[in-house]
Amino acid sequence: MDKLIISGGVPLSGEVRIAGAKNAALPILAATLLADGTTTISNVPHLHDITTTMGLLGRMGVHLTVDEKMRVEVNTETIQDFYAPYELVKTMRASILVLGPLLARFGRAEVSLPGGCAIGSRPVNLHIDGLRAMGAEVEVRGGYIYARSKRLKAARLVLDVVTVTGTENLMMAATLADGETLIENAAREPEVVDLAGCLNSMGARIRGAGTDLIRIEGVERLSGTSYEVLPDRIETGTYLVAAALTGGKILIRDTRPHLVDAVLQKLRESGAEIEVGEDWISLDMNGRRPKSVDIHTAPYPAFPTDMQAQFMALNIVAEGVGTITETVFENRFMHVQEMQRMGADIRLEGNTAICRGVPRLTGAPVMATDLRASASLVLAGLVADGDTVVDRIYHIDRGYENIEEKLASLGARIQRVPS
Amino acid sequence: MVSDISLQPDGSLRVSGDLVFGTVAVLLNRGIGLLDRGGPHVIDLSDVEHCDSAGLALLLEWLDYGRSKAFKVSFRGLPKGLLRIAGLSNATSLLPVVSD
Repeated sequence: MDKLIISGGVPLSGEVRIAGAKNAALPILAATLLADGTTTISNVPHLHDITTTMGLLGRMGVHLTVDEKMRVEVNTETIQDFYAPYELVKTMRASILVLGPLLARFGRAEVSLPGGCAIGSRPVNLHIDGLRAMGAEVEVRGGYIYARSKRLKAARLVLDVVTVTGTENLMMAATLADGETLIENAAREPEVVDLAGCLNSMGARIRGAGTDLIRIEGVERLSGTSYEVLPDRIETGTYLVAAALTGGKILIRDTRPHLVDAVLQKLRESGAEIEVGEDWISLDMNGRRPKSVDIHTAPYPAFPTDMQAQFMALNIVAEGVGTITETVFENRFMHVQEMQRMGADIRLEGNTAICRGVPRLTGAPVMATDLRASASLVLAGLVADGDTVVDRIYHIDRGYENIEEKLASLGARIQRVPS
Repeated sequence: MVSDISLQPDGSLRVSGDLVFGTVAVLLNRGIGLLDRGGPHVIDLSDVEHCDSAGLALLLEWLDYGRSKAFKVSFRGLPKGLLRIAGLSNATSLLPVVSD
């Protein structure tokens, strides 16, 4: 397996461009199953999960072309299969997102259950219950979801817990249902809004995306469209934190500052000077060490759980003591022990990590356990004395486009070592 | 620009124009015809203007054809765009490259 070797001690400096959001591109790719005609999606990030999703669609018989600017053109005229096999779904939970579109447009779907996830329980029962409420016959057997339906019927869906993929799957299914569907306690994330934007450009009638109540008036058909995926707010936040914890200075381009309000607030608290424009963010630490901040993760627009590990990397080298409370996933502290291997002072009390900043970390061999944990270990390596070797970086390749190239362009001493 | 593949004086084949969904079918067959003539079986892509994943598929088809006929096809001058697409598809290592 590939590894990343980071030699710490360089304040990051320079510009970096942000890629399209993986968590927006994936449901949008699934949404192409809903459209008659060709859909062209631009600003698609160059990531393993994108390749997996395109492979899944291709296996169904969908026609896909990718051009040199990473625009993906999708036409479902040739679809023959309505099946998402375990061998693909087990590598990428987001494969479940084809369930709603397949059922809504083609009346049938066979999708493997995703199985367990390292960071916590993420059941799909809300997806299944919602589709049943819309009139689908859904059976779960042998690890697969078998769903059949004539035209889905609108329903009032009240989600017990806020679920992004649940909101997305049910929203997509409702676009072709008969009548108006309400999704209450809906996820409010920007990626849900982006998916709604894409669906509306196909001819859907969705209102309220971005709030906890989404209304979808079903239509007879959706048409192909051209749509640009929004920038990745977590990639944005990660590079901002990288500059902050190294005491550096950075200009982030091709992003949307309002998507990272909660992150920018915390970075300002840590001592960063931040300016924003329409599609850029600048951060300057003026060579100073950051100050610890207290973080409490929660669904959007609160502080994102996907930035928790990165801020832990900041807190462990910051001045003072900071607490990080994780309320979204019950097992999202797997990076703590790896950081402790590097000399971090972290104490866990339930779902709270108490971080006492140390002046320097020490480079060490560490192992990535999930996407954001792996990013946090790379960040920690940027401020560690000596070399940090991050193993199992296939995790990081799922969510960060060319991370070693982007960090190297900012002055980091980082290299990928092939297996 | 019209897409074409032609025999060069050094025996290599040169592709020009666009290597995209709309052009690959014709290029495939012309390429096979030229590969069957023998020679170094090097395909130069320096003059390719635009490409998409259908172009990548074409290269893989030529490689496959060579394997079926017991000769090795390799490429020269791969466009950056094509390499990006190959990277997205985890296919970079499948493309044998010779230097200019």
